[in-house]
Amino acid sequence: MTETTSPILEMRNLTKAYGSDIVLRDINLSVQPGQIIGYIGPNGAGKSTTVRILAGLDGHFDGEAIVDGIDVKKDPLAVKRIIGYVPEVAEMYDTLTPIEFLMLVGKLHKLPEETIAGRATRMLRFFGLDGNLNERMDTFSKGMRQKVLLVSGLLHNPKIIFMDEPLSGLDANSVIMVKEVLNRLAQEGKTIFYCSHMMDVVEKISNRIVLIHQGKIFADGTFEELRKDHGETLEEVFSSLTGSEDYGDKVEAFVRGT
Amino acid sequence: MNTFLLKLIALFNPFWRRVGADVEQLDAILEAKLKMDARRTSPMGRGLGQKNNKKKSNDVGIIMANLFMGIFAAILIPYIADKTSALTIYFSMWMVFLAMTIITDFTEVLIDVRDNYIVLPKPVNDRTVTLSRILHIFLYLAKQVVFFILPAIVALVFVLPAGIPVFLLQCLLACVMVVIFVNAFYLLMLRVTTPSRFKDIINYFQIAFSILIFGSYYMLPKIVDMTDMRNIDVLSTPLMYLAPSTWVASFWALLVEFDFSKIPAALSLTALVATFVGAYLVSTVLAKNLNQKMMAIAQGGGTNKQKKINTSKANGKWLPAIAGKITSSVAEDAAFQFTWTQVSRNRDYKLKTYPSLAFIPILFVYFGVDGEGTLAERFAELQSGNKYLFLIYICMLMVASPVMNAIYSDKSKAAWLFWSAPVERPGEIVLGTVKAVFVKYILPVYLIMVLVGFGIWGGRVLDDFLFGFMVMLLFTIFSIRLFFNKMPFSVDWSDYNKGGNFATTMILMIVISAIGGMHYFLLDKSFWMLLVGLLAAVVAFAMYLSVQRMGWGRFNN
Repeated sequence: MTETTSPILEMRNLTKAYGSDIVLRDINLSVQPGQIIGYIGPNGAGKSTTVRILAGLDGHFDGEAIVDGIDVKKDPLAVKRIIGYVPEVAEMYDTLTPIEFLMLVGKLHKLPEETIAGRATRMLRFFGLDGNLNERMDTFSKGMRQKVLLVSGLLHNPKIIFMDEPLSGLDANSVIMVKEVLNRLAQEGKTIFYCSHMMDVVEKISNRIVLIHQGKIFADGTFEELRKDHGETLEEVFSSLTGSEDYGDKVEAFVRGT
Repeated sequence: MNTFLLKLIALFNPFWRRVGADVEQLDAILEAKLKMDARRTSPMGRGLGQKNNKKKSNDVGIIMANLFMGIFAAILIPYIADKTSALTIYFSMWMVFLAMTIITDFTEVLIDVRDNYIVLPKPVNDRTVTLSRILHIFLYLAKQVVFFILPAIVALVFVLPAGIPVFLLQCLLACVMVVIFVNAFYLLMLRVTTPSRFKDIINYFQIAFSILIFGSYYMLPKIVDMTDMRNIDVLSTPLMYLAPSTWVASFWALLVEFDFSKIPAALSLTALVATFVGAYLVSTVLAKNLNQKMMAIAQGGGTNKQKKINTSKANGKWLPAIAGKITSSVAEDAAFQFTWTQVSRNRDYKLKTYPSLAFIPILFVYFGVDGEGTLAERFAELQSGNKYLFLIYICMLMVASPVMNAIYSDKSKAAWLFWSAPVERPGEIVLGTVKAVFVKYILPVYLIMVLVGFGIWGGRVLDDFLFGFMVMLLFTIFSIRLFFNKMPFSVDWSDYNKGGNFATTMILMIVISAIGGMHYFLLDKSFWMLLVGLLAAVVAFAMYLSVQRMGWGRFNN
């Protein structure tokens, strides 16, 4: 990791509140190009909120968020042009076919139709969906939908890719394929920023892990660095940083059914 | 049709560019939206048991419904002598129909949460997004409006072609008023209720709408005196001055019949003032924080407050008390309480079940009331006859629907718990479920019908209703045998009506007619009737015991 290049993502004193409910407190984080960031934390920690802000979807926050030198608050459209956003799997127009859906996404990114058709077909074929190009997605399994969403996030060759649980619902082979794709993208200098709960996967593919809890960054470093201080596996790191002290007693009571 | 509409929109591209939209993105969004509209099953169709037909376009359904209602309403224009009155009724029907269609059919499109994940993260500016929404609504309305007013225009060609421009103007005004009204409705709802309650309210609108459409089709000819209708004069009834449709229709009196008297002039003025004031209120006072609230609805975020209300309701003491009284095993008790809460909260269940219960009075009026003579004559004839048999046996026919619908759910896979739990006799679960819908829906509806019967025919029909009740018990048990070959809530709604339901419904009709015929034969023989009734109750009890002992055999596939 070279510290000399300018960061591609930068958050300075980022704070976000819904009414009196503070979701993010004073987040400071900077990310270099080519990193794969695993953004982890308990449910409700503020992961999706961070991603929404960085992707230019929510302009109501305090502090600064800079993506590739662009101030997200000032020019969200310019940010949206260079990022790919892969939402959670439930969110798609599933009465469309994959090709129709990707046509919409591609056109919104101003790609010519032939380019979209060519890329979409190639990328879907890579994921083994070439037999389903013109079927409606409401019959698709969760994994198939996830693959289409992944393609929709990569279609326009973005510099930065944001993902929310990108591996959920995928079978083992597809997980390997996606991991490989992410690694190749990182080698080409793309930055990948994703939220996940699958600790074993985060552990293996991220070259930097950021743990957020109660709206604050609790840990930030490579897996090796985190392991030194907090436990053997990422799961242990996670629970030692976010769990409560009397964990053992609670489990004991739970198992006994009392 | 969609390609044509998109080309039409594209004609105005220079204008869209002027207001700051990106026309290529606009075209892409609208194309996808129209495609999805056509493939959507409308909630109305689902409510009426329409099959989840994936090939048929929803557009055809919209065109047919509007054309049909349009013809129905347009008939009045040549028929009624006073054209302002005719148009008042015409616009009343249309405005209600249009507002109801938008609220019931289009709401889920308007608050489509997926836009936030698919369109908004893309480099699309706000103007384009807003314009795509407005044009989408406009195209939706245009499809509705064109086919609804077509028959009326044809009618006017024969009646008074010179009035057509004024009529078109009136249509435009009516349309704008409806849009303002629907907007105000949404905004008001969002102010006074929580998001999940909002969805419930929309669901009740859908139920009311399907009842209204079918009810008016079957009942209106029976309860409206057409000879009175011909000479109706709306403007002589001051109460009608309150109806927005009268305001719209008054332009006809003013601009076509040149009636410059005070009333039409005042009403026309009211129309214009109301439209502008309404538009102003909607866009300023009510629209505050609209987007945030829409987001909340779309994300389905029930607030904490909402959850608390629900739990306190569920833990009420009366439900376990009733369950304890009328169930005889733990499994049955559990199934009873589970079904009770499930059907109270399941929107699809209500959407399918309530209309069929509402069909009881509708079908009764349709079959039981004679269409001739004045209203008083019709009622007297009804009172002297034996038409209460229709009432009893129409109830019987409708009993099947709450029972049958209890095997469906939108979370059908969650029924795994029946198989994973150590249930020895699934019959007990089925009994608990059927008892719940019987106590919750069938019994109250039947009691209301007994009251109606008593009100119309007096004490002489009570034994008939008692006999009917015995038969209905038998019938409910019988419908378990016919329809309940699946565990409760274990079949997806998309499989609704698939396969043999038609055949079973036919069997049901034949059996009901046979019993009804026997009842007719026994009409004046009270003793024999009660004896047969008792016999029915005994058979019902025997079948009840056999259902209770039902094993896994019929459920395991």
